[in-house]
Amino acid sequence: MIAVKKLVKRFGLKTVLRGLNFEVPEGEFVALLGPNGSGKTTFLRILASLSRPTLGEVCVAGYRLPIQASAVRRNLGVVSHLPLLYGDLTAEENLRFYGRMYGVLELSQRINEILELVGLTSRRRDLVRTFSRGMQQRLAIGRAILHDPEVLLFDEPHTGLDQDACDMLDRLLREVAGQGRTVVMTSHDLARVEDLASRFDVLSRGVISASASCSTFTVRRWQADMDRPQTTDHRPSSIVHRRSSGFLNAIGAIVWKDLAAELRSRELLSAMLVFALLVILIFNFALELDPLTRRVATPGILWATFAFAGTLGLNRSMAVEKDRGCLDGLLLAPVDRSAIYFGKTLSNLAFMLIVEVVVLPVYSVLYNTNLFNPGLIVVILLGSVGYVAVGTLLSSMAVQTRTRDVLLPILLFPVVIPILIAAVKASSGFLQGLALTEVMPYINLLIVYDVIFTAVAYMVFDYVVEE
Amino acid sequence: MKPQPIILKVLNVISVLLFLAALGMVFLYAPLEATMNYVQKIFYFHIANAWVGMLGFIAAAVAGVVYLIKHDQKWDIIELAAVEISLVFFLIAIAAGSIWARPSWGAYWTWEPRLTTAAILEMVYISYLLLRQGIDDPDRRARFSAVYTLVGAISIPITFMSIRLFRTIHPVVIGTNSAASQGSFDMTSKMLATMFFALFTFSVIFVNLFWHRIRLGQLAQQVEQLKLEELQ
Repeated sequence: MIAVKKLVKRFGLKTVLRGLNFEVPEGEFVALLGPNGSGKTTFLRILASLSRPTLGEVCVAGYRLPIQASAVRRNLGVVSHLPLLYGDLTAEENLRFYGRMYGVLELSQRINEILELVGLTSRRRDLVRTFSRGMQQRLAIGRAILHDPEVLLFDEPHTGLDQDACDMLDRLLREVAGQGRTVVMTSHDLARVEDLASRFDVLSRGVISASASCSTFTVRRWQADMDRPQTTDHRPSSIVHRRSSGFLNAIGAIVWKDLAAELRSRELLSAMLVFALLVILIFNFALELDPLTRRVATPGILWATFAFAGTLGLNRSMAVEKDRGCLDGLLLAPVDRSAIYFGKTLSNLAFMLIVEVVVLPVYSVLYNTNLFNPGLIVVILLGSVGYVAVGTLLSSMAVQTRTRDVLLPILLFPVVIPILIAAVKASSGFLQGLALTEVMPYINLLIVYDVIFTAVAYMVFDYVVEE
Repeated sequence: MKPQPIILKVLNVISVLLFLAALGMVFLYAPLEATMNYVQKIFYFHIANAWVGMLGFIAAAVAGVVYLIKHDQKWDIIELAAVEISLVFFLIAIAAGSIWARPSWGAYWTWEPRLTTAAILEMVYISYLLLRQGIDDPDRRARFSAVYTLVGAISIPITFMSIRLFRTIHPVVIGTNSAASQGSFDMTSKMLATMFFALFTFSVIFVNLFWHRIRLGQLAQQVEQLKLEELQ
């Protein structure tokens, strides 16, 4: 079920895995032991298709990595020490989102079964951020088996749990593993996994240095199997029907998830709106706006406001994905990477447009300027599209850096200034009532920028999220 | 540590000799321009620096694309070398342009579109260096840098195009001059010869420095390798 030959993984000059060989037959539960820094997580990330091998062959569920990554992801469930769940969605909404990403049919019925299995039916409508760590991990297991995968990867799932929560998690792990699935679990604690696994491999200095079978395992598992009601199906849950999650369906799921989480928390929109209004107020003091200055300065003030507020939104939108490891959750779904990019871009565009819809009438009232001009609306739409197209790409990069708090505006502004200049010029043209022929060059410029930045971002997004 | 290759040593000498010759041509061979006098001499350095600055930024974008295809760290070293050197050349071009602008336009700096886009271009590559500083993992650093170089490279044609897209006072020395441009002048054949010689000289200096910087990058990589071997 899993076959790894001569796997090498290098990070720059540092070699983490050095010709590792590893094999797991179907239905076996293997514990991968090793001290911190031995390469367990790196190895599991390669098996999970989150990281590319430098050299060697990796085959999971009958498919080769990285060539058949999408097929591997369809047959794979991953639980790490981070739950990969959205805190501002309920347990049910989280499962619904991932179900849509995996193309699970009869999703409501499947969600009910999963919630029952992990013992969270009564908490299905509670936000995940209100859950204890143990409950989050149980729901994370539910998320991992939602699409009924053949292979499960557990990366130190006990991290941060107390004894009771660990025991409860072990019972759940035993149950999901006992349904004929192939399981690999990493741990640095032998005592923790000795009741679960049938084989123990030790990873040291980038290779499997020792391997042993657990004699007691077979007896215990046999006893457990005898106690369980016998069924003809090796997985007692109903057969999960899946279709491949379409491109548009995945985009729709991401937009739905972002809007649902934001409409509940309102953290991002509130911050963007308050910041936008503050910028407008500060410009009022800075420029002492008399009617003449106001007419000239309005397009610049508006676009400075949108750009600053937009940066806040982009930063927060991607930070949410990094929180609780959700970006990995997205990347584990068997959908094209560009669907993730377009989904995030559309969400960010929606947030930016909402802020603009609020800012425009407020500005009109505060400065007694009529901004309800169809031409201006078109310019705002085109400018915003270009801004979020490149902004989503760069925020995906910025959020993965050490200096994530400050880096996004520094990366973004020099690149989007051409868009802002064209947008300001075009807005100014419409507000001053210039002929359309005089404004059209800037509109054309905006369209060209939008197309170029969207195309470039689409082409390189893979490189930003892969390892 | 490997000594410098012979060709590089020869190139060092050629670069110095060419630079001295270019200085000679600028101050002794090229005629004095009628209205701007000696100030016009800086034009030869301005345009030569801008040329190699652009050359480096394009080289960086190409190296970035090759890195994304091949995932080979050597292309990351080449990309960084090109950006660092171009950043300095382009900064000199902007400073030289400002010195030229003072008598021509009456100000060291105007917010004229090409100057503004040139400043933006500098900012893109300063941001590039800040991006690199914020990432510890060498693979990720190289990937993100390559992507950002590619996105930033879109700004390079904008700098060239801006002179056509917007009305400008920046002189178009080569090609059709706009009616609104100020500070332009008719080039004599000697001026033209000097300009092309300066372009050639700075191109050679660029190749020389580029080679040195790549070599430095490779040596730094070797030091890292030795440190890792010591630790392991």
